[in-house]
Amino acid sequence: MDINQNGFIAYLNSLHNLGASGANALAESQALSPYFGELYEPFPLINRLVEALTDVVPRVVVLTGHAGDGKSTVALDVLKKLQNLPPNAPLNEPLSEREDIDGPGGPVTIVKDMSELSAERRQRWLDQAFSEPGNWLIVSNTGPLLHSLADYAKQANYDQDIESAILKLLDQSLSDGPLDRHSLSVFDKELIILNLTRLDNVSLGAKILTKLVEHSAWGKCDECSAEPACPLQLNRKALQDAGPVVEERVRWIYQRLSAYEQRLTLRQIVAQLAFGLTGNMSCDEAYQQIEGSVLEGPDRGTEGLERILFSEGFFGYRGGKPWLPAEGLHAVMLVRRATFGAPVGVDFERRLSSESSMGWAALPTSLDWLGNKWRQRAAESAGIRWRFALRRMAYLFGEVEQDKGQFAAVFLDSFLQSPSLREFDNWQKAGKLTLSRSDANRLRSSCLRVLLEVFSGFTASQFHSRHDALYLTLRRSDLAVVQPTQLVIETLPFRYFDLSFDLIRRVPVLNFDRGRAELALNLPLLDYIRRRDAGELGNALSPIHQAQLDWFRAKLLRVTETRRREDEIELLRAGIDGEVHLHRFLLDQKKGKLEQV
Amino acid sequence: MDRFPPTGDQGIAAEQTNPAIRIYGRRFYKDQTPVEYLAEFLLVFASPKGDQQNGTNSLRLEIGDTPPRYWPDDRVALKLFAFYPSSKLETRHPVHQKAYLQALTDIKARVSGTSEDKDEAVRLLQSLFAGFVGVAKNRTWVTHSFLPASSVLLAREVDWLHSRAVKNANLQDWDAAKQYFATDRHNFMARGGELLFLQLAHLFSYEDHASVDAMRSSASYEHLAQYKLVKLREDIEIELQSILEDAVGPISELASFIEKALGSIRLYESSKPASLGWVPTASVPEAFLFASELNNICRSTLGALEKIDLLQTLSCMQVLRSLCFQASRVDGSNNSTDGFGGGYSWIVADANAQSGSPVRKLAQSSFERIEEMLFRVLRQVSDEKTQKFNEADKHGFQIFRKIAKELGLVIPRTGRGQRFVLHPHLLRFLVAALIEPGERVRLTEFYRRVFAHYGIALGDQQLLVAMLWSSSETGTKDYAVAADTSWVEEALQQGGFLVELSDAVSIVHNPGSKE
Repeated sequence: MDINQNGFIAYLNSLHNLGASGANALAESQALSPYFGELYEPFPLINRLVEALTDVVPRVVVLTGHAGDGKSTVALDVLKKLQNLPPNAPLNEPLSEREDIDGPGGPVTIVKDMSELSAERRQRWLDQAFSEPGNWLIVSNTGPLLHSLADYAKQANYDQDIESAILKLLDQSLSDGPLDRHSLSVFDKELIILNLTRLDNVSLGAKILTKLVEHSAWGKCDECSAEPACPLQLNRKALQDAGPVVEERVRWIYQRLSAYEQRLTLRQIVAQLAFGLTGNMSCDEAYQQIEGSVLEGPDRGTEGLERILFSEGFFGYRGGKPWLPAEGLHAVMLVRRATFGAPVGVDFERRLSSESSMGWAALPTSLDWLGNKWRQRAAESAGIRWRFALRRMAYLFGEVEQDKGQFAAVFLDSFLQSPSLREFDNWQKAGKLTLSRSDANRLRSSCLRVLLEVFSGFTASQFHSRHDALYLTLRRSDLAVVQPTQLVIETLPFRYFDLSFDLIRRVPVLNFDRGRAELALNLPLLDYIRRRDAGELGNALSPIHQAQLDWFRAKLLRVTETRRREDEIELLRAGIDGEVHLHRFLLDQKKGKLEQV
Repeated sequence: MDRFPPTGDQGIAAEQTNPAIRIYGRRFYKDQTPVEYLAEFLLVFASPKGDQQNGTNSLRLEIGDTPPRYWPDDRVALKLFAFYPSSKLETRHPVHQKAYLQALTDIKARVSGTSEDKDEAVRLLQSLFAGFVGVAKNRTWVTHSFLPASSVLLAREVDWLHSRAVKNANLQDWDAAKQYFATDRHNFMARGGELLFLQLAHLFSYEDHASVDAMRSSASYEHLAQYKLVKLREDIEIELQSILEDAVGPISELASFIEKALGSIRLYESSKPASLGWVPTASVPEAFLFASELNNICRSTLGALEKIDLLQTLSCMQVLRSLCFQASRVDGSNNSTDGFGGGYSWIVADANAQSGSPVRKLAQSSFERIEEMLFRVLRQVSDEKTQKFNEADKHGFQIFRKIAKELGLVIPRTGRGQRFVLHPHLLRFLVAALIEPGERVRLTEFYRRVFAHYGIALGDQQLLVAMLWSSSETGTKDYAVAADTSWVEEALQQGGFLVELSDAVSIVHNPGSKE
């Protein structure tokens, strides 16, 4: 057998743009690639979209989003579905500017990219789209879309100011639910605007990792003499051995990034994953690594593996050190910013250099050699970076050993720097809150106690420990003066609130009185609540969540407005011992009397 | 210069007033604090006006032959009860002490329960009201002011002439002490809020103004095209009234309970009128902008105290804007700024910009240019060599710097390198004031409005115009500018107002709608 160049490796290296061959990353070339079909994970909204486009009621659907969010890929999938082409087969020729298809419900026109058209042609096609029979799917960047639609509205004498309405649709979160929420009926046909930027692509992205690892094109390596020791294959094997664990761990990282840093586009995610798989190594380089090794058998590839191990490349490291070129990948740059892999606790640190499991993790056997080597180095005084590398390895590859669940939970939560992320992820996957009744009650109380603090300015510990009502007080927003005594405008018992899961925004929601007011508990807010409830004081609430809580408070005040009585006066005051007491008075304005109740 | 009301300065000869008053109206005064601008504005709004003593909660003013008047409350009893315990020691007169103790007895008599209960109730009430203090500083209790969150917390300025009172050894009781309370000083409620009121009263005294028409039909003020003055006035009146009357409900009830209990502590048998000054009639454009912003803030679904906070910022910004608009008018030369009717501009920098960075230098020179203009125009209206510049400089020139620093619009508070900046609170204010509740606009549109209303240059185009204005003296007209506004975007995002969409399109959203 000979050294075999596997085209798939070159393809992977072209998916990230670190080298000069990044061209494959664009959807246009993906459509023609023989590898793409097997990698493609259908967008959850495709079926609804095809339904809408084949309906007898004519519609214009506009698909917009960031470059790399998958606009063209969606359009391509729709085209294949409408033309009854096999979903996994590549196209023979690239998509043309405009595709006219005879769909089952009438003609369907797909415009590949409106942003590429001249202004004059955009207007002509928009005019056609709205005036001629048939369904249209138009792909466009957001800027040109806004301009063109506003211009069209003006030209066609729709005198309404549609910009605010369109912006509202663009801001609408996207799920696989019905499309009515995205529709605008200002024009002659129903206009549906789907903004892929608002689609939660975290789990979609993580699934691609498994598809990359299990891709049939790896089979071509079987013919290669280097295969048993090839670093690329060893890297893949470690991922295969760890199985679904890696996908989950990767998904958590993306959860954390999109909640705390920035949402990634699918193209950025794919680039990072592909880079993690190959470490920018080609077949030739892999072979040179093996040739240069003094070891025997499959171990000959481990030195090469050390350079490209997934748990290093994925986080932007190489052999424990930050690998600067990798920061050219946006996703890697964001991951680096969060510095994953810091020490977790004394207990873990003690075990780190002696046990491969760190007390909880079962690592794939294919990583034994590397793990041993790194542990030796980690024990040295200058081994800090290897300790980080070991933690990253344990995080990504470590399967939780039996009965070590709690131990693992501490490690994982601390690694992710978020106490609620894994639970949050579970809820998103299940599409509901998977909490027992008592846990749900406890979470609800934590939320409300934190709200009590934020709204009143007293800390929760100043209230009686079994306190179970939320006070909305007259608190100055300038906070210029301490208000030791506050007037209570409204007292809302905790039992009026309940938790539910919003399927569209995919977040848990705190409801007041069956949804009359609701607060979306996104991950950072939930983390803040959990930490605060656990007694951590250091974390300040970021301004965006402060603003969110302020709006919730205003909403609560508004929906409870009708019930207030002006003659009942309730005051909150912190006593000398710090405990907050409620004082009640009845005011008889006619007699000019104030009665204590 | 035409004045509104024309009778506003009756009895005072023009040449006796200082140039600052002659330019800007009667009057802005340097020592007025931000809370007191709003408090005074709302006081005039809420008080009965005119000889008939009607027109409460109204933005209209009847013009007669005499100088216009309004009839504000003084709330002396409430202030005594709430502020006396924390008042400056040196100016507590024995008569006040006596009245205060009497007041406590009177209140306790109206509270049920044991004597501990009564003490407790009084302490609670005092601490509650003391929490609504607006300005205390180092003043004596009667000159404190409340946060203007309710009409019962609105009070005119009353001063206690302490040094005169202590000279009177025979002063024993409250009635005799009344003569040492003065209402005509205007040291704190120094007519700045009145002036803001008069701007609106003038704006709304006609159904239309040519200048408002011109603005509504110009592209720069497209977003104001739908405003009709009558409707605008009615809307603002209703909203302001509801803030003042309903928002802090039980506080008002408690205040009137206290005032009833302390009926004997009064300064005058019937309410005493206060006179109003005047504004230049040319102030219509800035008054129109002020009114539209007032309307947006009032209509939002924010909590009442948050609205009060924003209104306070608005009042101060309006003072700064009025100064600049009018100065630019008087200045005359070179006052075209494309996209903004004011004829001046403020270039703001990131507060954290490194010293020596270009944008910081621009912001600094922009501030200098504004100050130069304010300084210059005072000398333009006064041809004689009088000694009045001292006063005029204080209240027509230094005042800008003082208020701007109090707002945080200009930093640092002391030292060199003063420049315009925008901190997150001001950005939040701009969103609330310039975007209708519930409305979503593109970021570029937001920048356009910020420039159209305040001359604050954020976007590329606006920055170019602003730089042309700032540099016109040196005559340089060739610039290649690219505004770096990432700090603005970040701050807006932090506040939850900005949604980033794709390819550099971002939405600014004012979430305060009723939907």
